[in-house]
Amino acid sequence: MTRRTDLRRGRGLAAAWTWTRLRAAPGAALAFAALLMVTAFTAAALPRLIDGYENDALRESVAEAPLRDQLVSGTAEAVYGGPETDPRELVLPPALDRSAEAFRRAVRPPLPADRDGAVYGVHNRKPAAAIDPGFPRPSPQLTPRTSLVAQPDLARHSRLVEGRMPGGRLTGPPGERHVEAVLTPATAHRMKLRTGDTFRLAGLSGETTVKVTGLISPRSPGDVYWKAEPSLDRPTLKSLKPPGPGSEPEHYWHFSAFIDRQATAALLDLKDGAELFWHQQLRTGGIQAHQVAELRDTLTSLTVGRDATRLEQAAAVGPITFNEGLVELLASFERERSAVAPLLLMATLGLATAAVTVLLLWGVLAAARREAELALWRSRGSSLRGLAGRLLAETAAVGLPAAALGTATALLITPAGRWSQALPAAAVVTAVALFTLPVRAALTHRRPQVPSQRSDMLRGRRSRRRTVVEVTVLTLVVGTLVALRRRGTGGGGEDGGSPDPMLSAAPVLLALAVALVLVRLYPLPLRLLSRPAARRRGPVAFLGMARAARAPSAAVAGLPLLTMLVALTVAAFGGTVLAGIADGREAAALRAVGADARLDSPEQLSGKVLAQVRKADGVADVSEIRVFHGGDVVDSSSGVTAGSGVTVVIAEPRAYARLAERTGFGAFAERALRPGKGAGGPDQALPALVSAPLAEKMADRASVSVPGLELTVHAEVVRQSTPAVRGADFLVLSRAAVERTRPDTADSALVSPNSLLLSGSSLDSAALRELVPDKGSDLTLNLRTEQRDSYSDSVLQSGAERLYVGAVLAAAGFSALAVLLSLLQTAPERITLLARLRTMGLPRRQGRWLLLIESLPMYVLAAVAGVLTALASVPLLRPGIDLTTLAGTPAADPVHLATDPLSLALPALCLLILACAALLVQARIAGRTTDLRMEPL
Amino acid sequence: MSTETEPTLAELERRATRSGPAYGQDALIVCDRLVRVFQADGVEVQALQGLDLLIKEGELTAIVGASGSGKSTLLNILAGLDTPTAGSASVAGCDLLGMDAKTRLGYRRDTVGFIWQRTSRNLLPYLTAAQNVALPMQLRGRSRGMGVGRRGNRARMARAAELLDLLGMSHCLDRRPAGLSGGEQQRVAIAVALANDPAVVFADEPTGELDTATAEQVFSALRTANSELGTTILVVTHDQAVSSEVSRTVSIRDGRTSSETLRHVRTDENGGESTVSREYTTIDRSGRLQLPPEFTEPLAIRDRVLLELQPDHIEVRPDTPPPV
Repeated sequence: MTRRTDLRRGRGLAAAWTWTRLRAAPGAALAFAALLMVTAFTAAALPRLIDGYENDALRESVAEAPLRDQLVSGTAEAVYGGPETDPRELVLPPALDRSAEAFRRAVRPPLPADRDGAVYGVHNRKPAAAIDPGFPRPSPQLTPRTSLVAQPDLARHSRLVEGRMPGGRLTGPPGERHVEAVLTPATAHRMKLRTGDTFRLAGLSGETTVKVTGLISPRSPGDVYWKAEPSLDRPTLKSLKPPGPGSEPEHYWHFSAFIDRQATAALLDLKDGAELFWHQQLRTGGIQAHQVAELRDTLTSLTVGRDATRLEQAAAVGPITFNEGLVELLASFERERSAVAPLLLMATLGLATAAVTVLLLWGVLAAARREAELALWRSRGSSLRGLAGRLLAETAAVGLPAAALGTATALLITPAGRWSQALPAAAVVTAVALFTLPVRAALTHRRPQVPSQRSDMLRGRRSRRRTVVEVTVLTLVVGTLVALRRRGTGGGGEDGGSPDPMLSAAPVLLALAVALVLVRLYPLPLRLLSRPAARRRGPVAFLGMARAARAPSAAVAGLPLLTMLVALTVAAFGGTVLAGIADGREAAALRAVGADARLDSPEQLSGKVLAQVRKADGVADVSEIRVFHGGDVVDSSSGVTAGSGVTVVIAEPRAYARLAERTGFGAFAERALRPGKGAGGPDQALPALVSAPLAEKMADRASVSVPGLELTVHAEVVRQSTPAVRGADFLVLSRAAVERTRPDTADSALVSPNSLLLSGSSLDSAALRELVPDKGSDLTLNLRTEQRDSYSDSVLQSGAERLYVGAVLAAAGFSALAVLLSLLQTAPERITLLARLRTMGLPRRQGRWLLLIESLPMYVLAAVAGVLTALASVPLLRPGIDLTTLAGTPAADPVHLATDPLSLALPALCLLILACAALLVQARIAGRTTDLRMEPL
Repeated sequence: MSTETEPTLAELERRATRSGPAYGQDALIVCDRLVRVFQADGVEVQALQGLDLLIKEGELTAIVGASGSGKSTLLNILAGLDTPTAGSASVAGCDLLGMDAKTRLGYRRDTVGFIWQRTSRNLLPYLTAAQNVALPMQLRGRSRGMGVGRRGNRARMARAAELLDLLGMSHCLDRRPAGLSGGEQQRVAIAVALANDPAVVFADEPTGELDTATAEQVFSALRTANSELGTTILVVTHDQAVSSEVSRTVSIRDGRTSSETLRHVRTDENGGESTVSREYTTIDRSGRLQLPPEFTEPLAIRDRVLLELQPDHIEVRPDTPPPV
């Protein structure tokens, strides 16, 4: 009973004291509230932003996939002699409707089925040849193919344009069947059919005659009803590449005709029998990125697992085959996501560390600032629990509403994403913020402190326990890093598993280790420095160094150092990642285009275009080249083909050599392609620039043949790459040399340029675009800048990059906050010191210097250490991190981490500038307020 | 405390070796051969070197000594903030060596009160004078006779007002420390120390930051508390002049008590009152005597002295070489 009343009274009292205390220092309370609000907001918003971004990326990749890959689709055969009883039963509406219902039930959550987006039916298993001669045939030897389709509710999904709907009655024996069908107007028009026409389809034995009874037009052509199966609403032109080298692709039309559902038995007479199909559309908005693995499992289970068995039993139409498109789509998305995820996690961890250390710092500094007050509480008889409870009440009174506000705002403005990560993150942040001050105070005031303890005395050596803890942490960190390095490339990437958290934590861990070492070792260099400083005449350097080395204020040692180091490392490393991505994109774009811009034409370029291009704004250099694709290279001595499909380039050598040098793709000396002296005649072997793989295969001399030209060449220069060609097999010849060897080709269409490689740092893309009319021209223009921008246009890339930049910037912001906090904390002490020194005659100018010299060494150390840590993490992490996916460049141009001096140094410089600015402001304030009695309480 | 019912081993040992009445049996504060050794940067500093001190209930005592003589160490030990290296100390029956955290907390809440030198360190700046006085009562929690909730609050505020009134500070009830002068702050601090009606109040240089006139006010407040409430008060100061303000002054030198000044009021035959103060040197339990330098230096007393026992006194002579 007493306990309960005790509690009640305690609470009442605490509240009163809390209010009184908070009112006494509203500034600090508000600042705490603001800090916690921002941090809780960040903690709650970031997971949801990442969720939202991943959802967007997934939905984009689903939406951009062909419709068939967005559907859960299954098929079952109905053929004579199949495993099932009677295929004639299967293709009739009762069996179909039953199976469709089973299919609809099988596609269940977590698969977000769109109930309206489902279609099923039956058609002939393979399109049947329409053997009438009247059909259009793009390739004369190929007949059009036809699918006879029966889908339910045809009348509801279409409008009858003319004629009537097909009847369900079949006439004639098998082999001479007659069936009625309707077509869409587009199909009828393209296939030159009219209502009342008939056409014949080749069957198992004999033919099936189809009579067109009418035309129907789709009510909503974009609907899954019309799109799930190919060529439903209009014929499609199909290509077929016959086997054999050098064959041209052949084309034929594929079209569909709709028959009545009762007439589906006719399908069984066709060559490959009938096929039942079901399509179920998914709600794109209902797909969540974090569910991808689950979705894949569900789909797999539906394809081969327990659900498949259940479905087949329920549908009773025999084995059901599922379309793999959706599973593959999800798998490829997961692969891409798991390539990007470690980087995002890295930035997130950096941000989390920076944020949590700033909160810890706030608590620790607040405990330090209120040490005297808390000592008084304690010596006046406050119990430890009472003290901690009162402080907790204080932080909670301010912090809880602020954290709630921040979290709620975050949840409101980030509509997508899960709560399950956002809320715990915000809760952890809030708990850290609320508990640091009470816990720290309780630890410090575990025993009441002797009030006369001198604060200006150096407190002995550090405790042995602390050394043990530090060494343990250091060993763990170093061990982790070594293990990570040994294991090499980060696991978890390939199989689409979750990102390796160790890999992502590496920069933070490294920063932690360096911070531990630095906190221990920093006095050494400072003390060494203070010796020469003491010998100099002025007191400022000596005083500053002595203070920095012997009694560093809490502003710089310990937690602030850790915060700065972590944030600096994360920011610098983030800068490296971003620089690596930018560099990779530039390189890939240059690789893809070969120059700043490239103009291609299948024919020779007219002189007018050439002149216009040369005159265009920003064009500094033009390399004219003739490109032949598919050249054959035959070794002269053995007669063995060294390469077919070699890209042969005939270039104006001077400009081309300049371009090669500028782009760094196989630079060569222009004179290497000049033929030898006294040469001439067709037998002269021309010097050629040859790709390395091709050079290996061809001997000294080889003959090159492209349409209209056959030349003997020898490999003069061997290079890995060349600007004009992307592939591995290329051969570059000098136009002048070709013209000299084959005078008949001079100025002919054969060697005149069909491609231009343009250089110029500020190309006027609009002016160049004007040269390329939209229509009626075969000219294609590729701009390096456009190519580069195209790498970042998918949500996966641009979103990840934006999030990454955001997280890194936020981490940098928190580190700046740490610096300001620590400086603010020690401001009264510094200002008092300056004021005292000024009474002793220290000029204002020197006072400013003193503040800088006293604090800057720590900041300089932290900055240097941060840069070095980031620098060290680059080679450490390079094998484990593949930026290619994040950069969005093709896999042939892999992007790796690159050390970028600017991005390494920039955060450190910003930090130093910020610290200097804050210190100078303090010195200015100190100059104004000179209250010597000021005691920091 | 619990020593009465359940003697500790140390207590039993002490009883066994003791002959005659216990040392300081009737005293409120007993310090018996207190030793406190500090370890700072590997250097040992003996702050207290076997200090004996007895203070009776109701005394107003000052402990004076130069800085570094160990007086602050003694006060911290008595306040329960520090523990002696050797020896024993008890205040109002509480053995200061054998206290765990809980009894120590209770000791600070109920048995003793403190006043520190720095005026700003005694009071919470964001509370009014009355609230500051009420604070220790609230911290004590389960207060005796103070009641619960609002009733308890009212009782506490009433007691705070009473105490401040007693010390002549009733006009400062609702002012915050920032609005008080240094002397006023210290007088409020005295009220804070008296809040829980402690047996002893310790004051560490309570007038250290004050001018003479204000210091006089503070001492008068202390005397009032001593006489009106009967609280034993122990003041530590380096100011030798304080002996004119208190009834007993104990000097500490090099970690030991060296001399005492007693001051009492004598009424002569004509009814006139005069204050008489006499200075004594202390003799410890093993018979050691400290001679003040003003006595030893003129006679060049060093190393050894000659003692002669006379019927009513002891003669101390310098160790002069015997006449040839």
